[in-house]
Amino acid sequence: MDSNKQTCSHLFDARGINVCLGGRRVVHEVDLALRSGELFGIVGANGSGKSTLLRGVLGFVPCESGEVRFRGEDFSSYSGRERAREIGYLPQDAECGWPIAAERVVMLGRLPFLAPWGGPAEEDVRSVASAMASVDVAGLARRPVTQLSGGERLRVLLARALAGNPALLFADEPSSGLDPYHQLQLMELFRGHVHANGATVVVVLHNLALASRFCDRLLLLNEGRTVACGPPGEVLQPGHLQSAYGIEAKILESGGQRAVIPWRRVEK
Amino acid sequence: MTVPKENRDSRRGSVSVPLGLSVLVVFSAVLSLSIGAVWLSPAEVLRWFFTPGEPMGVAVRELRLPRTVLALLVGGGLGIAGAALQGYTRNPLADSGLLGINGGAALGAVLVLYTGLLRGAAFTLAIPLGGLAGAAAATFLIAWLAGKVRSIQTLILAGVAVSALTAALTSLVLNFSPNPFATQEIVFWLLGSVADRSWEHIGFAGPFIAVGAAVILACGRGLQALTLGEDTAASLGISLGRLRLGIIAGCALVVGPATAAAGAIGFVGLVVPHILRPLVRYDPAKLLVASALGGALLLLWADILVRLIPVEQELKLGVLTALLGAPFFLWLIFRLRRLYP
Amino acid sequence: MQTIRNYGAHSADRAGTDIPHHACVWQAVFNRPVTGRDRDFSATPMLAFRKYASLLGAAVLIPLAITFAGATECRAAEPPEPRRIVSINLAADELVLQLAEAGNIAALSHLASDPRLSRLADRAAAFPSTSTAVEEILMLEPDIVFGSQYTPRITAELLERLGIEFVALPVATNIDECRELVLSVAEILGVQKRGEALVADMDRRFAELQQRVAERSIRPTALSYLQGGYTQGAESLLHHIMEAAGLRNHAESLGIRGEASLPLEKLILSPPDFLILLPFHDDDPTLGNMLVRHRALRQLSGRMYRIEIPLAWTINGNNLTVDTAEYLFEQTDAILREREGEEQ
Repeated sequence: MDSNKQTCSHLFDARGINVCLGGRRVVHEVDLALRSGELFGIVGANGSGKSTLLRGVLGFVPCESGEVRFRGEDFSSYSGRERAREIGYLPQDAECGWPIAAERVVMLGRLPFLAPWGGPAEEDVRSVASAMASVDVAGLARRPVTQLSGGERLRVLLARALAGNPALLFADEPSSGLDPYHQLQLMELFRGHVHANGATVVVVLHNLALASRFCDRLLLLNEGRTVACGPPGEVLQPGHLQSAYGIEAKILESGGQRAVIPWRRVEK
Repeated sequence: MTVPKENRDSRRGSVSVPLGLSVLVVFSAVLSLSIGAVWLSPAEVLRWFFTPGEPMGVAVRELRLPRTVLALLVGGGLGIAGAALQGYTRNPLADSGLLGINGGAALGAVLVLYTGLLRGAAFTLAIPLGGLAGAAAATFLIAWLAGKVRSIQTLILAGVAVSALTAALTSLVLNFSPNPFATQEIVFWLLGSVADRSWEHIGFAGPFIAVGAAVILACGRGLQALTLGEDTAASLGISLGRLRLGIIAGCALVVGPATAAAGAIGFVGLVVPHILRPLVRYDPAKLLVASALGGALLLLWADILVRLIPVEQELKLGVLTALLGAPFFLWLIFRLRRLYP
Repeated sequence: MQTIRNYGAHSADRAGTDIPHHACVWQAVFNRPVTGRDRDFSATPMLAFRKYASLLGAAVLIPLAITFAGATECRAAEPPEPRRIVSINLAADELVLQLAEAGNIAALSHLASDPRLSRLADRAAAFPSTSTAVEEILMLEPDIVFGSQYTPRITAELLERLGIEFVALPVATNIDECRELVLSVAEILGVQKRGEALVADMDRRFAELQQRVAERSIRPTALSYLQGGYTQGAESLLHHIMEAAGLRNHAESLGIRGEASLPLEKLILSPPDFLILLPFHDDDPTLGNMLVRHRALRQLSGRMYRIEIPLAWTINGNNLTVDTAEYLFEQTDAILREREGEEQ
């Protein structure tokens, strides 16, 4: 079974990724192998290369070296449109340049599906409606997205990312700036998306409690290098936390679930 | 089902704005053909148009009609270029004039006109190509800066620098020009006008403006995606490199020959997209067509006003657009400051 | 100090009247007369008036009655002597070339040898040229420098402070002023006889021309059309040249005084008998050239005769202006005779 897992092709498989930004290597030899139907967390201290890793494997910044395969094929063999139909991306500090109605923002997620010069078809309209319903923003459809609260805006932008019903969704620190209620809501949405559609969600997180509670697997980065990768229980060990974050954490176990609570700073 | 209904509403909105603007453009164009040293009714315009040889017929065919068409072309071009630049920079303060693109186009045209750089080359192509090259250089510089800095303040300051540079280089060209008329001609040409233009101007500027506008229109979806930032746009399958190239090429193709034909006319690209944006519900793609029509309408009306204002020497079109546009720009700055302190 | 032109009055006048800006730019190119509103030139004030004019700050107040001749009388006492003469202005170039001893001419303006602008370019080519930079002028060690009323005031003042006599020539906008200009420069150079001879020749030829014009029964209309769409209306030099050549200036009947832009439509809707073009022969495609070649003008070519006068012939008014009038008369007369022949 285990060996079968190794040989079965991953949905998304990035190997030996190196990314340089401004002449400095930010990501060193990181592997990111994602299976279908998992909620995958990327954790690490500020500046540990989490966002850059995502942007690198997605091709938003050039990788110095490394190989990326999607569904077993070389990622670069996919056109931008083909990628966009399968892979969603929710950036950090997601912005909206104009006060567009929420519904129209979500419709932007259907751009890769529209015919050239064509307007939205019935299917696009349905997808938008269901994406908005799934994150509970259907009532905000006509509100300008710039007038929404932080949590509302984030959910609208998430609906935008979900409107294409992507097999793989990358979300970069979506929970920062949300209150605990909305943080939990967000993680439940991700989990729901994974369960309902068999999709894979990769989420960059700062909140270790959320990471250990919701994620199937975690990748812990420190200064652009992999510290550990695996189930949260394996990754969020005291030694790893100390070397990656310079913290000591209290680990609470209750009913088979673990919660990691950062407790105090220690020397790295 | 409320959502499809909303969708139908939005579709209706996207048709009614261009349609309404088109109707206004047609009416204004008829008015523009009617006024002049002698006022004509639309029926008379039509009658004179088909009367060969008579002075009034010549005036309608060879003066009023080219003037009207050129105002529409240049206004439409400046409008769509402004909308494209605002969409690309995601900022309502972007404008080809403020960003120094008009200045670059003027420099390019002046270089061709007064240094004999293309002496012997086909006259009718030399001027728009000069404007095109100048506009392309300035647009490229600005787009490159826009990629480096996100702050619009920096971008506008860069535009100020580019404008100052092109103005200085234009003066330099005039210093070296052997033609003693050059200074006077250039000074007035830079003020911008469509008066006394001929079909020759439309012949050389029109095709470029049309191609440029088409290139910009093809960028519409990219501009929509760019609303959510560059990374998101890329994740939606938009090639940012191609989008940037499209915006640069489109704006240069439009602004360069338009400036070569009508001089440096500012603020159209600033004012028009800003006014029309709420009407198209802030959609950067729909704003393109609307701004082209709106720019045409604005410049046509400016040209009508220029002819109606009873002064001994006709006002220059660029003077009028600046008189209207500069206060608007100030108001916009203060309003945006209040919105985003 | 010698000035024909009153500087204080001039600048005040500039500020005080509503000369269209374009006219100033145009004038600055060739030191041509500004529009008819700039009348005070004919009232060239005496030196004594300079302070008053400055104090009053408005040339409008200077009585028009004070004539050119009045100014020259002030200088009558000055002894004629050999000088080193420098001209930094195209109008002065033509006068200095005709009046001064060749040996006394230290330099002429850099435009003097341009055949497109100067009627005496051939003769001017033999002399050194200078820019208007005071430094360069000083190197020529001149006794007297001729400029125009448009020479920057700072140049004139600097030269005077350095002990160099500066003469600011006014711009002649009619035949009388042409005559006065020649005589006054001749007087400054101490060659009154030569000046009077030139003027006598001019007057004789104008009189002859007037006789030939009188023999003609009709007085056709003419309109000048310059690069950039300008025309010369009443109170301009070209207007008086047209009159002398037996033509009615159509621009005057369109209500234009001095030099002003003329919308092409006005021209098209009331075409003159003769369209007078002043081409600036230059290979470069320029904006100004484009207008003169407008299709609308070409389409009406059957309704008006085109006459070209070399630009150089109309820039400056002096005794040579009679050449222009004669040429214009000959040209129009030939066409009129031809037409008459066709009609008969």
